[in-house]
Amino acid sequence: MVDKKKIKVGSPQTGCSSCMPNTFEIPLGPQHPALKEPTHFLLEVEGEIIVNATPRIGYVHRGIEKLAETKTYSANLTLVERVCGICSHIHSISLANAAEGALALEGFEVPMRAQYIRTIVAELERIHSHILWLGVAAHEIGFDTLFMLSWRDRELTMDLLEDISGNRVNYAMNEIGGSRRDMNQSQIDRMLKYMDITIERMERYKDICLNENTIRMRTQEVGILLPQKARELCAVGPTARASGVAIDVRYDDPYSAYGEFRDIFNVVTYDSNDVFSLVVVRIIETIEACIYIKWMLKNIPDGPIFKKAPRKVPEAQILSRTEAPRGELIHYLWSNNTNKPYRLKITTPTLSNINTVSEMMKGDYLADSTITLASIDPCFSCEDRMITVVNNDRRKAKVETWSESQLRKYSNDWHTANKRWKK
Amino acid sequence: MNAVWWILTILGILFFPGIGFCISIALFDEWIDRKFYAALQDRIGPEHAGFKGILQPLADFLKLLSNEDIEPEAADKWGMRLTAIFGLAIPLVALLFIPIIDTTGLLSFEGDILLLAFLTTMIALIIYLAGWFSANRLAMPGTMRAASQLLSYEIPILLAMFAVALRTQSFSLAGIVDWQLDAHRPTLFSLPMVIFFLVFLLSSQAELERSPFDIPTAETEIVGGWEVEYSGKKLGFFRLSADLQMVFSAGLAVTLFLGGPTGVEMWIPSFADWLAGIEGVSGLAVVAILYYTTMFAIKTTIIVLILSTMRALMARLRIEQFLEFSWKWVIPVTLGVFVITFFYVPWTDQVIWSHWEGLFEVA
Amino acid sequence: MPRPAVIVWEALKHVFSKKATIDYPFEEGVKPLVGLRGAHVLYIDLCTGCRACERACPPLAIVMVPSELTKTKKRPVINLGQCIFCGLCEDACRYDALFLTDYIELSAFQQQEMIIYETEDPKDLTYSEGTEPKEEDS
Repeated sequence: MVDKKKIKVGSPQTGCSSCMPNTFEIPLGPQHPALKEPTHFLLEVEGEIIVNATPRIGYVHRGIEKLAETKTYSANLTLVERVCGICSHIHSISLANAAEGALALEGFEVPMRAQYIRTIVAELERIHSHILWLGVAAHEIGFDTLFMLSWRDRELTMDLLEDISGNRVNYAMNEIGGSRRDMNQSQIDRMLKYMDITIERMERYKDICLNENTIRMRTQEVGILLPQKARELCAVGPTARASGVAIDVRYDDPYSAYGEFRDIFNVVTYDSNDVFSLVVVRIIETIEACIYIKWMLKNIPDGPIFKKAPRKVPEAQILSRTEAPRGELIHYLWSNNTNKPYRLKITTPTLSNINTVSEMMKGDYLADSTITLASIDPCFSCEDRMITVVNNDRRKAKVETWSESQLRKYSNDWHTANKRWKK
Repeated sequence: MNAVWWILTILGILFFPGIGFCISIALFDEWIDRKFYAALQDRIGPEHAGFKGILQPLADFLKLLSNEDIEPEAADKWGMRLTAIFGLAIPLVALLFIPIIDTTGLLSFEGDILLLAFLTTMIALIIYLAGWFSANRLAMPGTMRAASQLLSYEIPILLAMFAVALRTQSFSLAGIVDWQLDAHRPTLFSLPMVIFFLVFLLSSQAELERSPFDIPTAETEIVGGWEVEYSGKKLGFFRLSADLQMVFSAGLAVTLFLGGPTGVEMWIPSFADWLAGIEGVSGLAVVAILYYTTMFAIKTTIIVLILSTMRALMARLRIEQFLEFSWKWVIPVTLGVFVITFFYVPWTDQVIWSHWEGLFEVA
Repeated sequence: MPRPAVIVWEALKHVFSKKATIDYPFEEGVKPLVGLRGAHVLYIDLCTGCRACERACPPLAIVMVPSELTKTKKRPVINLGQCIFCGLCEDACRYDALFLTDYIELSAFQQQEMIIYETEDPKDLTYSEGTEPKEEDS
């Protein structure tokens, strides 16, 4: 048996494939029970040990960015929520922040109570996303009891979100210039109660995950991502924090109401650099999120929740950074003094993290590939921004990238060829 | 050996306590397993087919029979069909040796433990062949995992079986049950047998490929492992076969360690005499058969509940961790205790048991 | 101290207690008290056919059809199959004529059944009696 430590990531002995050239390739995906969304990893396997992993993304292109150029800002807030099914609200915050940033050039200001409500919903979303991830990870390593119990406790948060917003998945809570729904006292009391229950249960899961021997056996020293590599590959969010890189947009560059409680904010890091570290970081982050919500509910200011914004957003180019449950989310907005964006560019955290997966998989057993892949909490449908048609034969694959002038020429040619075409 | 005996035996093999009864109890135990597993996870489990979903396993089986049966081009088609049939037949044959309605099995001879040991190994071989014939890239790792896992956990099972045979000085299941009746205690209460009982349960879980030892069929890792290409009737047969293997393992554990189909008559000799008396009488024999069957069903269900609880508690290990656990811990410990049993237990049992004999005083 | 089967008491505790599962179609589901976003109700008496809801709708689920009942001779028809239940039409309506109710059992066998208020009959347009007009937040 090859000693796993010796061919670990980043060490010069990784070139063991040259001394044993008889590796064979195993595809992981696009259809696989462990993957909830389609993606493809080509694993080069030497016996049971993975020596290389090549990701290929782009199966779920939906053209959301192009569609956003045809809709007004308030309609776009509901559109960008559809980028991701789990972290939907953070996309809407991000676009609203971008548009409000452009409006702020003309002295527009969002009421503080609206910022608090947005932040509370964002943190609730983080709780349910992290508990969902805990269940998925438990399912990947065959621990279905933890999966069922954690998802049962996720229902509390889902009920709260349904109570506040009226929807369970895409909340449609934001409007340019504020929030669309207020919270009354009974909802706040209920939230405080549920947050206490969630903290208690997450503490119990923390005990289970720290003490359960089989979980440790499956996750420790699996999927190692050294801090140096994490920085090189631009890992974001919990993936970076689990490697000891303390980056968090909520702390580094506070948006919405995060600046208000920066002194009690903890950037959770853990230093074992493996999947176990990710489990610990996510569980502690969930508990921290409950504490922030409780702080915000106690300190929420009175006042209006909405300020009527002008329909037209002045010309500006705004880069809006937010911390989604999976990491740093970037919305780049180019407005042109109309009520529709000129260009919207979205970069989701999975796109930043996808390269770390191939790094984490190297030197692991084949059986660990799925838990390693699940450990970054991948959201492949969010990240797909372009589509490339590849030759049937993978080895002759040829990817073409078109420049803007080529695209314009294609579009002009197409419209001259189809003159009668109407929408 | 007259005509009536032959007719009764054939009816017994076909219906009660043979194929029909075994399949019913297998489906019942699957329901128990699913309900209890769901209850441990704070769910309700199957609910709507029959009383509290008791017919759900049967419905699933019938549904699988009616499904389309897809065979891959490159696969050995007759091999796949034959393995499915043998996979169902071998546990059924093995179940005929388990004492269910009587202190002896339907088929019984001196040395049938050896045959059962052979049959359990045959099941491992069938699973290996099933994966091999299906010619799938994901079935191959599953097959290799199944072969290594089943063969490593075959050894503790055989050691536990032979330890009981050694303790009771008998190589037939009927002899083991008789020894427990004579000694007025189940084998479990003999000195080192608790260790063998635990090892037997652990290894049975590994043999049955149930979570947390479902490494060969791990769905999230290798998409179902060796059974990935099986669909429709063949998958139904393998599912039913898994249930039958569960009943067989539970029944074997009951027979070896918990006194088989006997119950309280171990400690009430007059009841035992009465039972022995009415077995000859044709009308009252039904009472004895019902009593034994009920006792067997209760004990089997208890074992199944223990197995279900084990299923819910742990994460799945990697195959090399699990084999390491087998070869470094389970097999050496079992072998050591086996040797101790061989040399010291008859003596210690005599000395220590004589102090405890008052505990189960024969009235 | 790491050990196997830590979850055993946690799991065994649930065996005899009431289960968390809600057997939904056979048992009453959980619903929030106010503010659930479900199927629409249109008060055709209040509707003026001003097209505000049509313009606000992000997925273009609302289209205006000719009608004799409103001032502008147009009224909205809502395709629930395209609706994303964002409630922007509700906010956009200045006459409090269009509402989202808490009716969420929307499954249908045909696409035609997902389109509500397709018929002209005024009785169908206000089928939900108990729903009171809700006050706007802002």
